[in-house]
Amino acid sequence: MDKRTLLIFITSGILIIFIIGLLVVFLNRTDTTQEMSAGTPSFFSRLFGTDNPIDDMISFVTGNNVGTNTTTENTGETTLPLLRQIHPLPVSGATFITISRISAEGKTESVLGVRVMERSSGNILDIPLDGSNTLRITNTTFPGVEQLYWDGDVSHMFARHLDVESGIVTNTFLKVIPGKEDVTGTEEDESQGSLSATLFPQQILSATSSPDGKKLFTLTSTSSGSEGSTLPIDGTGVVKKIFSSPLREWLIEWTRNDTIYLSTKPSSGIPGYAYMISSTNGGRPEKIVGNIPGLTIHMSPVAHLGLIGSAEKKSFFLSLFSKGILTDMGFDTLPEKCAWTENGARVYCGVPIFPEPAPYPDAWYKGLVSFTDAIWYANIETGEYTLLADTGAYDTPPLDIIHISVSPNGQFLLFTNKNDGTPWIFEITKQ
Amino acid sequence: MYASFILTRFIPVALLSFFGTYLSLCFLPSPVHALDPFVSLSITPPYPSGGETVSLQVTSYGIDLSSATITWYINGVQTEKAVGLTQKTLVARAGKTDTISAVITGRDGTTVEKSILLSPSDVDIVWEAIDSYTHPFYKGKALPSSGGSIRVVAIPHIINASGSFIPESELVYTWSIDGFKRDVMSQSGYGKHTLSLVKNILTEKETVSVDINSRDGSRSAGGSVSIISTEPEVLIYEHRPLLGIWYAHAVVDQLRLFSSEMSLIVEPFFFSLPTKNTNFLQYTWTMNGKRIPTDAMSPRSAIFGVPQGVSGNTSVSVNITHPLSLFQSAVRRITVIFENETGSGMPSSFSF
Repeated sequence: MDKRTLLIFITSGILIIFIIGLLVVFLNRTDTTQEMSAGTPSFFSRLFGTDNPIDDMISFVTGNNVGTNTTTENTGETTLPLLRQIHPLPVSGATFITISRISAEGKTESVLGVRVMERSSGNILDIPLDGSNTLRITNTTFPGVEQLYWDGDVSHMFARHLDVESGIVTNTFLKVIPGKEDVTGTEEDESQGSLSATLFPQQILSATSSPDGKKLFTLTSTSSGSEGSTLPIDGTGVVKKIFSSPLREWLIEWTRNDTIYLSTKPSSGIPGYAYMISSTNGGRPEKIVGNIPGLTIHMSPVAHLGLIGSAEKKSFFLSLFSKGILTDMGFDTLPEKCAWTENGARVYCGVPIFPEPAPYPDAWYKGLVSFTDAIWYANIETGEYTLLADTGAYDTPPLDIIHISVSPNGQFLLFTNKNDGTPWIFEITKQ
Repeated sequence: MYASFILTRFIPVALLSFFGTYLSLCFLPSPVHALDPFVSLSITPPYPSGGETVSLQVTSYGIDLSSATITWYINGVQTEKAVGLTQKTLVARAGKTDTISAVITGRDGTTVEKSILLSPSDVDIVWEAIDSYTHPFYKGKALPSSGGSIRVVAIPHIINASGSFIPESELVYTWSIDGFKRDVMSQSGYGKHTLSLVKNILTEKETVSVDINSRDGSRSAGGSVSIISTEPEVLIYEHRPLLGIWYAHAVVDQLRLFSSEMSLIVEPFFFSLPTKNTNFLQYTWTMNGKRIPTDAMSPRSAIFGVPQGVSGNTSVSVNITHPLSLFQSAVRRITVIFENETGSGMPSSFSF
């Protein structure tokens, strides 16, 4: 081997090693990018870790686990995405339901599902969360419902709907009348249920339903301010006045059976106040927090525990309120974008990714800004908080989370995307 | 003689001396309280609210406090004791009445005890722009425009000696606006916990204050709030057939029109309306600078139609004025972009 051949051999070897090195670096870099965009735990979640065995079951969304599948998807061989749209059309409301059905083997089985009211039709649909076909429960047309409150067994509803010409909000008690077996042989399909509607004669400012779904608390305008009353959600029974105030602008929520929370309507930088009253007899409103700019609240089912939002100078902040003490949460969002578990130990939140500076919450309420949310989880007992899904990193429409709730078994989050009104599911725990 | 002296002089003098001494002893302060008037126990702030940190301070002109032993008690339980400990801080407990005592023992053994009731008093001052329009499902606060009506409500949290809250209707309220009480004197008084005012058109910001006292004057609270006027705002929303008004998104600058027809509706945020009837306001729609007649029955609404095969854009504005107030007006300008697969050029139809 002469010197020339040796030189060519050595140069080629170095070149090959260099190319292999470049390939290794490139492939590693690609893996890292995929990992970051796949919504793996953030720095904070890595930092705090998860010692709790339940926490270990929590899913992290990967690129393959996101989708807009509808319930018509055939799940025979496929795995349902952890984060998925469960109905392609806007809904007026959605809630968890246990669906009973006859299996292929002829046995009665129960499956967790979501009951929705389609906003354009008013039809009631049951969507099983195992991906099987959606069931149309009613075919009565009742379109354009803006706010919907369900009773505990999801057979009764209280619907609020705006008459655009008059500007008056109509309030209606609705009852689901299940379909019967289609035995007549006529063109009419008796298997489809219907809705019966009873008009609520009172004009009300706002309404909220009790945690057990049995009652409503409504706020009515009076000449001197407002009055609050409780009444059965099915529209039968006595209306009981339990609250009166010279103020009319209250936001109300009923997250504990014995307690109704009232907070002054918020505006950026303007001091807000929050109080609670007994749901049985009202009584003197007991102050929870006050003099907090842009105050909004979302209290837990546990006494003296809730989320407190503040907003000023085009930003918003989230704090945990526990036994009279406010502490900063690990992420910032509006409290109404969060859902508590029944024992108040955990909270799941839609957290805006890079929200644009704006006077909050006003700008969001007006529809001047919208968010792309990530889903975060906080363990109130341990103080840990974890990123579950960085939805902004996927090929999904921007998710601006509202009306979020946790399933009774703690496995699913149900929420509505404010941007288009469609219902979504996020599977919290690995199956 | 001796007996006579005893009966006429000594006994009366002795009796007088005895009673005089007795009376002197009765009316003169005891050595323990001799310096009491010269010692005071003060609290800062004077009307603390629940959860607020308060500072208690012992001052004296009669005792050298730097060498005195000061013992602090809360509800009779000793918490601190030290020489020269003249100051104590603690957090006022909401809804509770605590007795804070300081016992000052001078170097000469004289002792003075001073007590103070720490009964956090608080008042929330909440205001509402009662005639300011927002749509029925708007969750934010209605803000006041110039000339708008405002109701201010004081929600006091004042505890009486027995530890229960004094009802708001049993307190005396003294209101003031920007420090002036005279203008709202008729709205001050016993049980008057609300104040009505019209937002001053000359000043952007007004400060409303209230002083609240119990009837016997033993309990007090006070506070103030600033109210800043805002400009009315026109927001445009899509009115979708069957779905209703789509409040989730306001049309701010541009509207892309893909379908053959789209209905829009304006919401006149923060205009003062005597009733919720928005037709009370005057709406002027223009397209490319030309005024378009409106339907008197629904002047807030407009329907855009796209002729087949036409693409382009057009400038649309809606101007809202208040028939009774020159200070309340607002305008919104948007560009409507018509997109069609074929054709180009302008226009579109516009109807109400």
